Amino acid sequence: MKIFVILIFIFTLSNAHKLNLFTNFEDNKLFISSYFASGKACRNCEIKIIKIDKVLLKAKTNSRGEYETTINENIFKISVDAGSGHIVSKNIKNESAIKIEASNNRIKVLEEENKKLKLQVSLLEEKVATMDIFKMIFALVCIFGIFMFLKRVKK
Amino acid sequence: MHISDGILSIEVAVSLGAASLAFCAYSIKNLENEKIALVAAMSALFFISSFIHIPLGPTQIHLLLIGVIGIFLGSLSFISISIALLLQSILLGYGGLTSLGANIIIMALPAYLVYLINKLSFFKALNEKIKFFLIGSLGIFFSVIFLALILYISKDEFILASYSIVLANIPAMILEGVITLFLLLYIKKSIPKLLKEANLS
Repeated sequence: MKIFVILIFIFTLSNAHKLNLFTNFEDNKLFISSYFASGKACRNCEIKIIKIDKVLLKAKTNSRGEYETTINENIFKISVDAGSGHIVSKNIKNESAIKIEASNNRIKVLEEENKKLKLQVSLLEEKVATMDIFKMIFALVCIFGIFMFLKRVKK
Repeated sequence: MHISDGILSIEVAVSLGAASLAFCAYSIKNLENEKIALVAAMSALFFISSFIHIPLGPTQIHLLLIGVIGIFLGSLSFISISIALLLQSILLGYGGLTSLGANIIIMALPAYLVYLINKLSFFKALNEKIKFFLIGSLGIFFSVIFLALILYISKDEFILASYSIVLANIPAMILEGVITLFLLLYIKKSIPKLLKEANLS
């Protein structure tokens, strides 16, 4: 029982310094709120915004443990350092922007395909037009032939 | 001018199919051995004339020569045009098998009507060139009227289309009239016997 109480005490103490991170990223606007497990704000904590091992931004949280900025990236990592090894990080993905980018890329591919198809259609139309001329000549020859046949029959 | 498969309602397609069958039976009954070559030739003429497409604005019109076939064949037009329509639907994809009856009514009945009109005394009294022109244009006129009527009674969705079809085919009537005029003038020179048999000279 004693061991159990001691363990709970140790865990509670260690959790009291656990750093939490809340983020909201919409329309390129990033809101960061960092706080300890006790509810205390992580004041003047160092914030790093990293993209593929490159630090894009370094800043500090305000007295409420918050920070706001504008980021023109869709995928990046946020790291909040409260000192003494209390660090929390979070990967951010702007799903809607990624989807829009993907759909834009898809539209570009489709537009290129459409251009190719239009070219093919115009080529086919030219071929059909040429074929139509031959068909008409063939038909006129046939009509002439039919009347020649009738002429012979009537004779 | 050809109605494709699936356009008409079942009732209209079946009733027109039955009517066209009756007309074809009447046509076969009147078929004489001496006329078989002419029927075959006119069938070929109808089949081949559909190859001649003339662009007209956003659409294309093709020759039918219904009037010419009508005056030469009379009631035999039904069998002649039916064979050509059957071959067109199978080989060229013009029209369809389920709408074959309707297409026979649309194209063979006007040919027969032109033949009957040609027998009327007032029509015989007309100037030769006007008569030749009317033979061609009347064929298309009746054909367009039948097409519009069939579409009108088939489905409510086609009411507007049936009106526009009549207007859109006015140039076709004129064009067919002009081509028929030149064709009959050529026949008059080269095969006058054929025109005499058709009571045209």
